[in-house]
Amino acid sequence: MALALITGAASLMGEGIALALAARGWNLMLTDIDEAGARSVAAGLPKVDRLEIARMDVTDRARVRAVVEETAAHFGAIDALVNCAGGLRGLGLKPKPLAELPPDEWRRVIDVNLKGVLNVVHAVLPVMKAQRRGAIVSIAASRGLRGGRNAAHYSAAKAGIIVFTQTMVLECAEYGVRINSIAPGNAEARWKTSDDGATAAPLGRPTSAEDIGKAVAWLVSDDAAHVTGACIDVSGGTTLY
Amino acid sequence: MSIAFITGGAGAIGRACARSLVSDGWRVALADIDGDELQRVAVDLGKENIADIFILDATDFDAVHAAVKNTAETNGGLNGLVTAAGGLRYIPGAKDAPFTETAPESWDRLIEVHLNAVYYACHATLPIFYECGGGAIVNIASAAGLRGGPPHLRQQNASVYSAAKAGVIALTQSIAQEAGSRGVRANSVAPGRVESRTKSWDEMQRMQKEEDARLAGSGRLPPLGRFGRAADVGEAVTFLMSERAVFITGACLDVSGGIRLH
Repeated sequence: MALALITGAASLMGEGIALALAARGWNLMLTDIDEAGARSVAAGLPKVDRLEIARMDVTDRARVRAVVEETAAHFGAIDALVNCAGGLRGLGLKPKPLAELPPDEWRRVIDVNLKGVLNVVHAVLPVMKAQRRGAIVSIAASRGLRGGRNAAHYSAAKAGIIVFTQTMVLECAEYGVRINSIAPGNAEARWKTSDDGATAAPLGRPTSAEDIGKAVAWLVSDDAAHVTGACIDVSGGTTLY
Repeated sequence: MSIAFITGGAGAIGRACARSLVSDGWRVALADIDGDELQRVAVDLGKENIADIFILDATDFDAVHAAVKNTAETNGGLNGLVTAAGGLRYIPGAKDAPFTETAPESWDRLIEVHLNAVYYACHATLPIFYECGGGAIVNIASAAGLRGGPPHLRQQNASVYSAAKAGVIALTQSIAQEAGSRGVRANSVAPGRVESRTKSWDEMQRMQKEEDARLAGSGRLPPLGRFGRAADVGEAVTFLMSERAVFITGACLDVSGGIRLH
């Protein structure tokens, strides 16, 4: 059965993605900087043939390479990569207006959200090239499509992911690999409380981790065999408002 | 009189912006890493039009902050910022290779120069704009940042550059949302293939012929039938900086001659 490597698997969104893929029979490599968190996500999943967990900080290039190599050796292939590691408040940072944003916070958000995706894609692509198949999905954000108040760094990083994904289409296509992104908006997260105003979405409810999981599951499946370079807005329409 | 601070002021686009702003009544403070070229540009523009010049690296957070503050103090305020520092001159090997063949270490400098440095300049400038009651920012992005596009065969080999430029566009949109109520407008422009300090107009013509000879269509021109002149970008920037664009913010103006549509 096919193997999906997920980064940021301990997050609520990572959990939603792991659940959706497990329910569809994928084997899973769950990675997160919070290994215990990834373990507790794994404990709640429906049974899959094979599942492994690894501690991985996406900003640690050597560690990323090592985990990817171990994954490929252990499972024999990496059929899908889901880049879910990232965030702003999930990193323990507070949204701030740009004029008050210290440079270390700016760099941290760019390093985790944007460079993190570059690091993992760079490590995984040679594996997918060699097997001549694969699908990559990166979690961007609606703020990457239109910017966002008090989150210039996060918006910039997420916009970078969307366009990076587009530029990679030809390089990936040459080896039968598809690459897409998803732009969640108003999504639930572990750090959010229910009164965060997320119900302001046109569809009347916040974006759930399950919503994102289903979109990822579709993009990595053969049902999306002719979809590449896309950015799918999964925000309940929030991006437009 | 309005004062604008321009990073990358000695580059082709930076100096074209300066020239165009000066002819629209601005005085300009120019910052650049290349001191000799900066002096030449300053002489060329005329002493009376130069508020100040600063030899600095746009990725030096402290130096940029000091220069912006100094400009505001010695000129009684600051009204404009153009971030034209960039280009790939100082980042050997960062472009023209498939992503998997690039060294991750090269991305750090690429993102530092093209994205983080824009934040440094905006971060330095915004508090001063707030004190002065407003201001205008134009960040130089790229058509590559609007889409992973064209000419697609080239942008394929510039994926991290494109990502950084997309970041500049979103950063600009964020500032527009945050700072609009305080009299600040923030826009970006997206040049396509345009002359630069390292690629002269003549060189670009030669390049196009070579590319076409190597792979038909890869050197193709935008719908307007020529590559971009730096002055094309300067005019767009000056418009966005001016009162004529008083109700324009958060926009990214495509100045690519339509090449993005290919």
